[in-house]
Amino acid sequence: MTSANETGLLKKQARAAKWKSYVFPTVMLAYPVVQVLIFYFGVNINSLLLAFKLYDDAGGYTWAGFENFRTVFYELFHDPTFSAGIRNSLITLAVSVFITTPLSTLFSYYVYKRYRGAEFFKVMLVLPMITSTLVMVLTFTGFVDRFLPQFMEKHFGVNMVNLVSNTNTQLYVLLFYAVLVGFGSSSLLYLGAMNGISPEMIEAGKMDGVTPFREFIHLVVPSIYGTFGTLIIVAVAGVFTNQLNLYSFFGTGAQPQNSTIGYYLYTQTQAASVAGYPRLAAMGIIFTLIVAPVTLLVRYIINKFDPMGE
Amino acid sequence: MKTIAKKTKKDVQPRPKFSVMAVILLIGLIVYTICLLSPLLYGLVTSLKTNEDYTLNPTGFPNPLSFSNYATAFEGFYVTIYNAVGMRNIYLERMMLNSLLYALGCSFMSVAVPCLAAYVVANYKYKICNVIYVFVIISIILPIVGSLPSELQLARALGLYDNFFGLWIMSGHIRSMYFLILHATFKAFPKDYAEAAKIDGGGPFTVFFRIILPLTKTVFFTIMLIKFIEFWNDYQTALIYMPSNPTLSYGLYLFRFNTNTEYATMPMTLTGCMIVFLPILVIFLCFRNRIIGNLTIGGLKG
Repeated sequence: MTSANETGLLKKQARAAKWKSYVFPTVMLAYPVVQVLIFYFGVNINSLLLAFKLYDDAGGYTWAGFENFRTVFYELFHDPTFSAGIRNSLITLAVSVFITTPLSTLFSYYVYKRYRGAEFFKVMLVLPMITSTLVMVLTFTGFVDRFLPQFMEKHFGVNMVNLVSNTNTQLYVLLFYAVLVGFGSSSLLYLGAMNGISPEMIEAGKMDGVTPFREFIHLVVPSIYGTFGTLIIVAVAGVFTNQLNLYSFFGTGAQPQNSTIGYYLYTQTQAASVAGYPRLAAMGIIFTLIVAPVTLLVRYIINKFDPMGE
Repeated sequence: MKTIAKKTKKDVQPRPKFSVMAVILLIGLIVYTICLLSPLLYGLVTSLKTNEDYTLNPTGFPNPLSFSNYATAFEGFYVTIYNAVGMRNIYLERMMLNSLLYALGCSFMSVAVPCLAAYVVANYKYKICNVIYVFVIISIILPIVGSLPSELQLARALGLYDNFFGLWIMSGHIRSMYFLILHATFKAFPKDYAEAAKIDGGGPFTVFFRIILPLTKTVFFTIMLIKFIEFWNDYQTALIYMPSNPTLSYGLYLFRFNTNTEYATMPMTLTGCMIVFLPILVIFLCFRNRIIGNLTIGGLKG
């Protein structure tokens, strides 16, 4: 009898101890999990539902089937802002992948090899990251649109157009600016990856008489392929959220032909009332459905061609 | 002995000789630096000019050097906010306070919340831990476009719209690279400390808050510093979610489109830029190595 009681007591204690062991992880995870449930799943499920609703002042939100999707598809094929937005978003991605990425990698290589001034240039590469976008944009606009034309006219007698204000040159200036401020974060990430390269491998290359260029192409690039791939994936994933700094340059007044999808969605949301949300939600879903599989495909391709994979 | 030591150190890390490639890269980096610094120097120089000096001498150096814009900023750098309560002017001091509240609160939450989750995920073997880890990676990779309207609607419904508390709550999430960095930090942390504390009768809360957290405070502080800079500079989040409480950056955005006041001049706007920029520059210069070091580590983890 006593033995049975003791066994029961032990079982009870074991159960209590088991429940007690759940207290700490439960308390620690409670807030993060609730936050995810509300602000990730809640937001996205709400976005999905919103896309199938319409709003009117009298009845609030009502089901509307695919009405918003029909509207968005119509706009996609008939509104020139969209075609310009998609084109500019893709150009921005291409510039990021084919210009910013190679230059960042090369600049990181310079710092990694500790050539003269490497420490100074490392700080310079970080500068755009710590500087407010607005501060960069305002000083850049003032410099390009006010200082340069006046300086050129005063000292060289040259009449220079205001490159930022001029609609013909605007997009090129924006892309140049994106490259200029885009080096920062990626250069440091590449540098981090390069610092992880085995010194023995570099040393062996040197003993074989490898030139810096060959060292870069055949030893460094394959070694940082993982970081390179991650940054490409992030760039592809962000293709329809990238605003190309248009909002910082022009507020809501950017030229439609220079707009990107990211800028369009942000300005539309900012200006929209509750009645405008369903159409924007439908638009978001359509662009997500386009970019999500593309991102996964790019990820698959990058992983497939990983030189260090096997 | 000293000479030998010095020689050895030099031998280990010799500065490589310049090659053709290095020279080309050096030229590229010099061009990049000039393009980057010229606008910022222009901003600084113009902020030290009076409006009269700027009008007469737009491309030269300040004559005389004037700090009056910085003094005037406290009465001239203001924005007008219209909301349900009515119209009010927000001045520089208030914007600075708003920036501090916004950046401090959000940066703390954006490290503290991933920190709590990362510790459990790294040290416990429950199924939910794996689920959370995989979820974070997927949420970073998988893009979701245009969820802003829904988020705004939800924030309004939950009473989180247009107040600091709401932004603090929303910024405390685990869907970031910093969760992965904290996870790696806790995973690599020696188990001996926790075991010793347990033997001494310490519970899991004591182990985490009294032992692990103080020992990993450097990582915590560095991530918070990086996030502080990010939030201090951010104006779009405040513009969308907190329109009645402009931060310095958001105020600067409104001020640049403000043509109504006598203060809306180029030198004054660029003074505003410098007021936003200089505190962050000071913080950066003080903690330069820590910030750059952490970002580099982030690169490795990425």
